Amino acid sequence: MKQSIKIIGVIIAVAVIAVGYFIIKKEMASVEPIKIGATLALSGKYAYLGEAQANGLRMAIEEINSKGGIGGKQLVLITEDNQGDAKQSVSNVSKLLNVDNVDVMLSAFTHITNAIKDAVAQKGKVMIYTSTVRDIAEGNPLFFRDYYDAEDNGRVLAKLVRNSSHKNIAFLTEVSDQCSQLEKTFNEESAKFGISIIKKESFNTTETDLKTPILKIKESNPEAIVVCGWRHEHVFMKQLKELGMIGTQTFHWVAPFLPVADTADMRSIFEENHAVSSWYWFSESNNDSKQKEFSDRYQKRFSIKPTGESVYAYDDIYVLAGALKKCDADKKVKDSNCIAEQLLKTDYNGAAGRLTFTDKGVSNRNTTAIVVKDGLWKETPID
Amino acid sequence: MQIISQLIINSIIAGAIYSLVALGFNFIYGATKFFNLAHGVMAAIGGYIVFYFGITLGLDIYLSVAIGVLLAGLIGYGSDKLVYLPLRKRKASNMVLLVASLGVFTALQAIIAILFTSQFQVLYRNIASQRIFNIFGGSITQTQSVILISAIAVFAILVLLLKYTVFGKAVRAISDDEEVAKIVGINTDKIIGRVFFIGSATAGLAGILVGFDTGIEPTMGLPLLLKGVITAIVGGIGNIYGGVLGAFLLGFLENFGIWKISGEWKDAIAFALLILFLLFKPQGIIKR
Repeated sequence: MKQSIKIIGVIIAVAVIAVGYFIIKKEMASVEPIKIGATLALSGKYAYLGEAQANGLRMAIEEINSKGGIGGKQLVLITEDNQGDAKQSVSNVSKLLNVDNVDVMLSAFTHITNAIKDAVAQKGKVMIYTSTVRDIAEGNPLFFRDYYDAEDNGRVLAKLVRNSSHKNIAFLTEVSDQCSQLEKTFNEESAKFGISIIKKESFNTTETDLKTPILKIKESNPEAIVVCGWRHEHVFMKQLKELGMIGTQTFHWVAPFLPVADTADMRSIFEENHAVSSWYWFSESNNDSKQKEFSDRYQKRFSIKPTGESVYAYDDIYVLAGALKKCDADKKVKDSNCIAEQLLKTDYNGAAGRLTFTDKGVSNRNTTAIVVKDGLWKETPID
Repeated sequence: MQIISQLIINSIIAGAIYSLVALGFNFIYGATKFFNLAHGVMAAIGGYIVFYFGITLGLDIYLSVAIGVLLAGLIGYGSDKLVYLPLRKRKASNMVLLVASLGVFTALQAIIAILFTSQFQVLYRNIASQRIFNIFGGSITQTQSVILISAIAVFAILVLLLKYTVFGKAVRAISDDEEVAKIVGINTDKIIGRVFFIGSATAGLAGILVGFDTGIEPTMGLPLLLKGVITAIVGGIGNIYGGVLGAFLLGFLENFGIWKISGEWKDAIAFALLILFLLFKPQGIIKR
């Protein structure tokens, strides 16, 4: 009898412990944070871009968490510094995926995203990346690209050349994936407008002496020059001036991208040469209230002006949060397929404008065009 | 005519930059017989010191340049005293010294990136006001003229130093045979220290002038070093006359080469020249 009571007592105790364990586990799961991993260039050559992204991510996450997060779950951002180096990013991502067990991955730069995509794909995680190259997203239904597009920029540059009535132009390009893509669409679009590329010159991304390639272009006597070399704008324009070619209008891909190419000195040369550049977010002259409001909040929070990277990162978190909320309603907040499915349905009016994704996970960010007028970059019409 | 003149000027400017790097590199190699890979980072150091004093602090630019050259020299001297001399005392092989110099290169480059970030910077202030001279239809800027004049001046100074001074004789003696030089009473450690100072100061000057011409970044030392090494080998390793010849040969070959083919082949041309010389004329244009 006494033994039976003991056995029943043990069984009841085990049952209570088991039920208690499962209840606690369920409770923890329902408030377990959603981890967002980000491999960013927080130091090194591209740190000013990586920091801007990190700031945009942090600002959005703070706002969302302050309003209760996703169904009570807080968003947690875990960043790793890849120093702009692809090899470093691989070890970053290994840690984020295998140690931190992040639910979603964020990345930036083509060379970084290319290096980590296989590891992220193997873990079946959703990745949102910023890069001018779309094929990484197009190759995996869980990957999404939100950034300006090299191919789109090529088309825009062709339209800008057409607008200036140039027919015979020279094309100067760095040797890179982005510029290959830009060149391809530039060629296709410019052929429609009867624009001929009478000279094409290329240079390596590490080159700083462009005098001889520019001289070859000078010899061909083009009406205008299209330049694809965001790393070299300050060198190119200086050497263009040295070789007496100011007066041959230039068309650029994101000319003021690097701070060294966006000084007062550089702006005066761009203005002198009536240079036109494609651009990827709002210019100084833009009076859009939403962008201005974002800019003011960002400056108040971080004491510096935002860049395109910060506003895109900010919008991406809100878009991701929207997808997570919908999946959370179906108890699938950490289901990558659900998150991807919801992201594809995105139609979001963010700080950087309207954001939707194609069925291949590529965003539709508008390319704009800018010129320098009175020392400021101002938008100019494309069509 | 205008195009050819400009092409020649482009080649001469490139040759002048390479010769500034090669002069210092060969000067150090001549005395120590090892490839000092840290030579490249001395160029970056010179550039960044001028950036700090001249641009960030706003000091007089000529004073900043003098400080830049001096400090680059001192850091080169320091690297010899702290790293290479102790290794030489332990009879370390040239391979060990080469690896140590790589360590010095990497460490100093990393320090520059930490202190100044990895952003591209420029030393010139106003592009619009830079003077441009016309020579037989080609253009050369004031900075590029200074590069050319500096290369000629440094070459002349090193030649005179080696030929007519006691120090120069000591350097030549060490270059011929360090042990015998010690036996005859030459303080080889002291002389080599000064060689490092002069060689590194020359590299610093190269970096400063490149900074005024195109700009500076922490990693600028490696491409300059590679071109300097190529010209040193092509011209005759350890021979300052050969280094200058090699530099201008490379400058002309690169610019005339990419005149005919695409600009992206520039580095390939340089390394093809190196391989050709290593295979068929390893002693270089001028033997030591």
